Amino acid sequence: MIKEYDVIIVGGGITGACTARDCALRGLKTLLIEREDLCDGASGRNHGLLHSGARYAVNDPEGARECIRENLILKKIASNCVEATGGLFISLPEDGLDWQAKFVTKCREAGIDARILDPEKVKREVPAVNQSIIGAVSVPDASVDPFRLTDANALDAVRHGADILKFCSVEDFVRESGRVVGVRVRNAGGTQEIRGREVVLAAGIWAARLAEKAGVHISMLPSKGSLLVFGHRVADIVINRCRKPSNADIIVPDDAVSVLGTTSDKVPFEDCDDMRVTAAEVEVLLKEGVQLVPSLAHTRIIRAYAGVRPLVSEGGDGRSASRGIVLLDHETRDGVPGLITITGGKLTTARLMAEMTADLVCSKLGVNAKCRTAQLPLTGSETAERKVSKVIDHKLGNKAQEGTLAAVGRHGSESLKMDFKGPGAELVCECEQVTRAEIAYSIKEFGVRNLQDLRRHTRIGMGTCQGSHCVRRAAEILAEELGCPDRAGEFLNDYLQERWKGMTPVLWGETLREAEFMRNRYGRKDYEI
Amino acid sequence: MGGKTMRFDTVVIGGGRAGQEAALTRARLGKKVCLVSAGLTLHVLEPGAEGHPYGLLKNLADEGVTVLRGDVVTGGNWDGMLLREVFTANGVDLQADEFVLATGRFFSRGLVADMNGIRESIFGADVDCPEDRSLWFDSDFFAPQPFESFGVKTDGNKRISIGGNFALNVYAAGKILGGKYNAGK
Repeated sequence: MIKEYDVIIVGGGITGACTARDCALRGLKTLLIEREDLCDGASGRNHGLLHSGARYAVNDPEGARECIRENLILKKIASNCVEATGGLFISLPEDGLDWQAKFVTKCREAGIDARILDPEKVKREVPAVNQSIIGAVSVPDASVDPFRLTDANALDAVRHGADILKFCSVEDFVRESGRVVGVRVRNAGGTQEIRGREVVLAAGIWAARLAEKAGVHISMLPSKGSLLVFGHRVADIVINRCRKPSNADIIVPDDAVSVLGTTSDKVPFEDCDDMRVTAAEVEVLLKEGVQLVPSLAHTRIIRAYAGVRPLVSEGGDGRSASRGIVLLDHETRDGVPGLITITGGKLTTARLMAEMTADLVCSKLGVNAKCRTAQLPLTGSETAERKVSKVIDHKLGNKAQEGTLAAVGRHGSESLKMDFKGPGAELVCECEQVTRAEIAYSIKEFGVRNLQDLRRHTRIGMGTCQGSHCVRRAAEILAEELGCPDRAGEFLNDYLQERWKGMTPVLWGETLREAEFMRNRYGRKDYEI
Repeated sequence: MGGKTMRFDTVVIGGGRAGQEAALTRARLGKKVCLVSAGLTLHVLEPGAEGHPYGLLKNLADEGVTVLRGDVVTGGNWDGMLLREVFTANGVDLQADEFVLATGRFFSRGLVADMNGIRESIFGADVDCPEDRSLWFDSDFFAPQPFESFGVKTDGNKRISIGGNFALNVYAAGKILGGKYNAGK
């Protein structure tokens, strides 16, 4: 590890990972610090929606323009993270068509390709959609895997010389005559000081608490967003409601499942580390969700989860507070040189947030280097290197190759680093088609310590069965690959507790049936492995 | 309901362990018994359990129990609180002097839960459970779960009740009985 970095970035979510990549590409000696695993916070607890900007076109034209620009960039540079599903904005009889007219005009002004469709044609082509629609508009919304996108940025940062410290929390700042010159960190090995010429807080809602330690106040508003995961893809396209943005008016196809969201409620800071979805939120989500897709009323809900938006408060409720990008130069704002905060914004605009931050860091350091993140493809996304045939063992049958193909889809050219020969081709998670080779790769590249970490990097257990069928096998194989076979039972138990947290808010119908099955199969803690 | 009608002493609804035991016990007392099982195959008890290494399946046939496989009871014909006959999805009307409800809990769909409550799936029998959904579970996955002790309300003879009135000839058996005795496994 280097003694002094040019820039230390605190927070391993999508914003921090993008900022680390950008800084590393500009030749800065870069360190990214994350207290848990990458994507542990809001970056791993959202819709997985790559906005086209249409949702913001009427109320926030600047946000809309940012979104569509970034949408087009990510489709190019992160092809292995994005599924270009397209999106619909539907109007129901009670919505009328006035909003649609204004919406389409504003979309076009922002450069978003919005097209009015014949509702009859939409009803035929997307049979899941509410059949009473009176209008529909197509926009270039897409589905994005936030875990994969964060990983790809982090890997690219490392490839260009950055260091990453995970499972390491920032306790305080190191200050010299008022200037922030580094951070004091704590991990399993104890505490240490790491020096950096600039320190960037990219810690989402947790930035507020950290900034206080440097005597800087950022007025933030934790806004909880709850979502529901349904057992399959009810539609292959993002479906939005064509009206003023409100609760539960977007449903996104994410890999094998559909995600409905969100709510927006103020929560206290002390709740941010353990978000639980309430019965009232579930009721709101379902009541509104069935307006978009009526069959949601009978579709199995596999889990509920929630994340916290790091809104910078300007009074008002969660939806009217600014969702724009907030870049704070604490030298000019608070007289604390060496410290910068990047917050607000959206998953869709994370690359732009990173560009703005890296621009500021470079100007502080007197470095003259241009941003290249909009042009250079991300690790895994380089089409030229995608020699799929190289990793596939053609001696195996088609069925046995499925896991290999899934890994190629998920990791692109990174899959060349996986060994699918022999035991590596063994399929562990059947819903998401995760093989032993992908597990071994994730341990090596991402320092996976347990099943929760593994889930973030491979999607293991995130499909239709939510691990009911594969988790025991997965726990054993992970423990074996990590070289600690005696911990398999612990991995299994922790995974089940986490899954239970997501199931209990929706414990009725098919979910309750599944719960009874799970309890019968795994309900004894002293499970022998 | 216009289907084929058959007459028995006892009709057992549900082919799980409780249903099989109930059918077998009555058959051994010389009763004419019909067992309706949703499954095409009957659940076989684990080897060694209660001296039946291959489960009760073989014994059922030996004891002359009529088994309707892959069929479910959809409703019944009541005379006050006396159940005269039940109807099956395959169009069989089963008349009997007594009925045993052994359809199990949630997994086997004896009880059905939605957002607003829990009901017994065939007769709408009264269910003993709290209204508040947050009382259905314990947030620790490994703790005993309240929903595993939910079941139908019964009188001292394990007869079900509907709308607060006890049925005269419908008995609950197995997991659908609820109570701490049946919790867990």
